[in-house]
Amino acid sequence: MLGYVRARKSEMKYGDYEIYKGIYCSLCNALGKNYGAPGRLLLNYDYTFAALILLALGGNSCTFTQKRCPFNPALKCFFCEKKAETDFCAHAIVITAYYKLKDNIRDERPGKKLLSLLALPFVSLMHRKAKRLAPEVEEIISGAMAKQAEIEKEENPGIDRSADPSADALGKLFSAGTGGDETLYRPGYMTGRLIYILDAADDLEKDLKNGSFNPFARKYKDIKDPEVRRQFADEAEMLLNHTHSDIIECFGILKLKRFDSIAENIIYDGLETSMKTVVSKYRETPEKKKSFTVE
Amino acid sequence: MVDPYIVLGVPRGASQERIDEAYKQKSREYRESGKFDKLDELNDAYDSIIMNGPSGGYTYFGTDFSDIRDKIAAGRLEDAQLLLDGVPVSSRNAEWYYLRGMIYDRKGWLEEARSHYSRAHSMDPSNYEYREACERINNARSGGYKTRESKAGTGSGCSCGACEILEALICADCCCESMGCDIIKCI
Repeated sequence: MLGYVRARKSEMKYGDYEIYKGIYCSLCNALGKNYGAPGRLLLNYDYTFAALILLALGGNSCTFTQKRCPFNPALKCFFCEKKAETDFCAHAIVITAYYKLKDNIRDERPGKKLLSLLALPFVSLMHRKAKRLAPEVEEIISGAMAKQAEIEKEENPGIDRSADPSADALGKLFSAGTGGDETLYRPGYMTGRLIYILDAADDLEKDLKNGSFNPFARKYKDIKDPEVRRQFADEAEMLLNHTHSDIIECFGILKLKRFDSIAENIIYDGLETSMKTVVSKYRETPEKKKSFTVE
Repeated sequence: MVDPYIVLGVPRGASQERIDEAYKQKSREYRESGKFDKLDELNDAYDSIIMNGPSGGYTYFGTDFSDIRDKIAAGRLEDAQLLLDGVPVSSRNAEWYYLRGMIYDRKGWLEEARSHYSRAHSMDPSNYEYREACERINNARSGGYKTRESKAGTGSGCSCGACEILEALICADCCCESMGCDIIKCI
């Protein structure tokens, strides 16, 4: 979970942006309340999306009130008054961060390993609390991590099998967050799958250098070769498109009570931006500087 | 009688939502283009699926694995998978691969689904069902879905775009002028 699922601000209405920011702030607040200031550092956009979807489905209304930001008292932000959904996501963030950290310590480069080791005591403490507060989330994520480790030991698991544990975990999280609503499983599953593929494609070069596991590593060993690079970009693009189309289809069936234009922005435009960013890394002319063209 | 699933253009075992969606879209299409005989056929097909339920009772056309299809439609993927695995290798025909693909599709294993669907299609290129599944997936992979979906508010179906408003104003102006009044001075 690394911030692939975010809104495309340029396509957003200002009012929608305020709500989106309000949810982001509420999640930050939930992290702060439950886990103290260091907890806020774990905040990310992927779980903002999860909180948005959970808030969009539950209850009759969703009220935002203006308060001062406890992190930066000069700012006034809107906070959502509903607690259950944002708390749920806050617990999930902490538990995911804990397992991600442990994973980093196992196989990353020395620099990152040191940083992860330094952060571990704080996150372990938070994790102990999260485990108590949200045992069902702990069960889902630790189960997925164990399954993932098993699959990574296999000779050639293929993309579907490799993506399955994290996709399945997000699917289960989505349905657990709404009190066991099964219709949310597939949207969650597909979002998790897209994140996994994006992450794997994004990290392919790094993983090949470090010898870490990557589902594409076997087929695209010679990623430096321009021809292989082009092939990989094509395959990744098609894989991502396929998963993205499924996400669009299954979110289309969901009946969101509110925030549908924000969800639509994230699902259509936001995800597409992330997909393009990752794929363009492997195209022949990678764009180094940020720029855009108006015709 | 024609296979109702072919009339609706959805694969067998499709979810109720998908069937409804296909029905709505097709009926709108036929009504707009005035193909009322097609519309009757569509209604009959929809009724027959609804009467029998998407999950059972329906006798499939030329299928060797109707029990497996029933299980997939009812969402019992593991049972269906077990039954499929029990089929001896020698009698694994195009439909076997298609059903296998369908199970993977339901599970969300899209790559496996694709390879099984395309194997089914290459074993029996004349089959509508297999071809439809392959086309659907290829369309998704090439990004064709991005242009198909019109986002709320920006689609041409919306009747309050700037052009329509201007058009209406000019019309109103013309009518007004003939009565001796003017709402847009410069036209």
